[in-house]
Amino acid sequence: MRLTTVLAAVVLFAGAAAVAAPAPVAPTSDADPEDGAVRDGVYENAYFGLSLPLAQGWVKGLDGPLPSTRGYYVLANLTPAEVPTATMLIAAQDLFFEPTPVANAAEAVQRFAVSAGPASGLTLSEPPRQVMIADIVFSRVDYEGAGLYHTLLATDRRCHVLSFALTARDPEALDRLARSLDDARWTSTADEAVPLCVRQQPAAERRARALSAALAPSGEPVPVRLIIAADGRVQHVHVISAPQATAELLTLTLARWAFGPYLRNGQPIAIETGVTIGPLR
Amino acid sequence: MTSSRTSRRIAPRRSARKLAGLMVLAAPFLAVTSHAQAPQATPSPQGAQSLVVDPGPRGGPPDAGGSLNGLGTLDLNLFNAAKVRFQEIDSVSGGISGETGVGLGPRFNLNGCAGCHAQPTIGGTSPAINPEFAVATLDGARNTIPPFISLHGPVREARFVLNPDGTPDGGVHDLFVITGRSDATGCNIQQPDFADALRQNNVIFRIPTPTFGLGLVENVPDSNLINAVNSEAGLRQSLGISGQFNRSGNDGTITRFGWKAQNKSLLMFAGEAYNVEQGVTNELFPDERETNANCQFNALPEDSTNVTLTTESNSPASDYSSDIVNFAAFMRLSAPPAPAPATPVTMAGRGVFLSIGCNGCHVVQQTTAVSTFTNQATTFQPFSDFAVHSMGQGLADGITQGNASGNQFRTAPLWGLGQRLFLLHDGRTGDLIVAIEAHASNGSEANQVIANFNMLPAMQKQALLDFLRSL
Repeated sequence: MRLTTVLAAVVLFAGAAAVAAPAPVAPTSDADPEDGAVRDGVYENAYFGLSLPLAQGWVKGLDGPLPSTRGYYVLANLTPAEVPTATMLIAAQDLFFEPTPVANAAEAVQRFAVSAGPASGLTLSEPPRQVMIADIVFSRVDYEGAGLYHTLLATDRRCHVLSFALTARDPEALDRLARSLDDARWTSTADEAVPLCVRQQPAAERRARALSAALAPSGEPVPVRLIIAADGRVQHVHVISAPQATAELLTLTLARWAFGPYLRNGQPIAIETGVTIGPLR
Repeated sequence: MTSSRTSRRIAPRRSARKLAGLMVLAAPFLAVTSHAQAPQATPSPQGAQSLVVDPGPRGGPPDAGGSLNGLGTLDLNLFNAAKVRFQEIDSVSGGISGETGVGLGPRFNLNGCAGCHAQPTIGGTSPAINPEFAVATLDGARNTIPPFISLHGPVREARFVLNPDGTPDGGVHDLFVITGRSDATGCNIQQPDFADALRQNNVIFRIPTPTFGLGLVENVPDSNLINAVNSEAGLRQSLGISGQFNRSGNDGTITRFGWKAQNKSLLMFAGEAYNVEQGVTNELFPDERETNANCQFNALPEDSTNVTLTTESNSPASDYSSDIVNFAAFMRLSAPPAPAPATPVTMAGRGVFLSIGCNGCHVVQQTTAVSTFTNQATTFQPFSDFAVHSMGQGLADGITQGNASGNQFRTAPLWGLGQRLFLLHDGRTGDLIVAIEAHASNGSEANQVIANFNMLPAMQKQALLDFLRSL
């Protein structure tokens, strides 16, 4: 454990040391964003290749809701086990399904900052800016209101804006909480195990529209994340939000899809994309 | 229903000793209201116990119940006549003095709209004295009071989660039957076995939703609702909030009435309630739910358009219209509840409301299209996005309605909250603090907002409660 880690943990958590820095979790193709969990004092998420040790005395809080029809995930609520002095909300927004999409994490943080004016009851204490945490580029904004202090950190990660919303009752505690992210370990998403994020795959979208017309489903559109292997076969289907029977039907159906290979620099590569199956309005 | 009845309050009085201690902490805030819940010790970040208190329902005359501003004379006449119709009391065939409405039962929860929609005045929600208690044995009926109904508790309807074969039920199972009533000779059906349903944890409850100002809600274009949600996208994503709209299976537009936003329009809302809650068949819901042949006493539908004048108000539109059209008109043309005048404390509380993220779901403001009735677009403050949100295991009722799943509920509009007695979908509490805390449980979108609430200093917490009771 690095000395700085120990010092931060001592100051923040009254002498309690953080769990030892973990080995990074390798991203896998069949993991889904919501599959993360706290194990042995470490929040691990194989989809995002993230391992974040919880400071001693911190625990996983209440479970968040299931992933939404907009492709939004509450990944973890972290909180002190005893007195609620601070919280860390880890969330992710899929770039495929947000009705008011942003291009990246910087835009997401900027959008938040614009909405966090006086009419929102919040005051920006530091404007949006880029910071490096554990060798990862984050966009950061700090704000406060009603005696609470907040930091929103967001980074681009596998077709998602991955965010860390930190809240504390005093600015010093908030700063220490932000610095606790130094202890996170990230696996590179540049390696071949991680498919390329492709926002729009025309062939898949055409197929989705045809399926929507055939199924004539009612209700909310169903967002589906696809991983398409280098040979064009659908390798993984992730129905993000749907009733169970619908999810099972779509998983079976979409797993049979195949497309022409996606080429980058003339070479076929695996991609990750999203399609929506839903009512044709 | 008179204001003298509905002005009674059920808030427990605090002990003098507790009150004295509380005054030290919260004296600046108590000017807002006159009735308070018992003070609660809530955990503070410092580990000490801080006392904050729900001020309780706001006293004084009802700040609701009038007509929408800007109505012309004919529409105002319709509103007033429809309000009278809303107070109609039904019996089985309309032959009992004072109960001249036709069509009660065979199964029902109450015999009139205004009995349930009564607090703080006609059109509101559950009153202090539960009218279900008296109607159980009215006119010779022999109903027993289910264990979840009490004289000073909330008006409740009951829904069963599952059918006996394990398939989803979700429907309303009326509390009472007309068996034994003087106007239901020969009918001999039994009440549902609520004791067994309770034993099997197979019954959930809903209380009446207030109807004030709902014409404004009906008249918000879908695009405005969507834009209101999208404008808060950044805030919501920093708080773990998502949500979705419930939609009509017929035309795909956003539905917005009822605890799960399951009803498309006020007419649908009225027609469904008339049949389900009172057993009165109508032009939208023309079939009796209970088909026992010995309990059918009227031609169907029991409520329909009047082709000849049967009543003579000063509104022919009302007189010719069916009951459900009148009920819808009363709701559509009613004014929104008026908040108490703002004070420095409630203004501070409003700031707290915004800064901890309550407005992520309880969107403050919405704007209507130009109204046929007022010839203008209106911006109003319902404090709801009218979307459905996952509210966690603690509030889940296991009932699916349209796109709303078993743990999803429409964001309850907070306007008029200051004069409500019973809170949450099932009326389980009258204490605002308990209601707020109930928003947090595994699976809830509100967990971070409630964590923020719990981290607030006591002064801010109290200001928030006072603000909410000023609505």
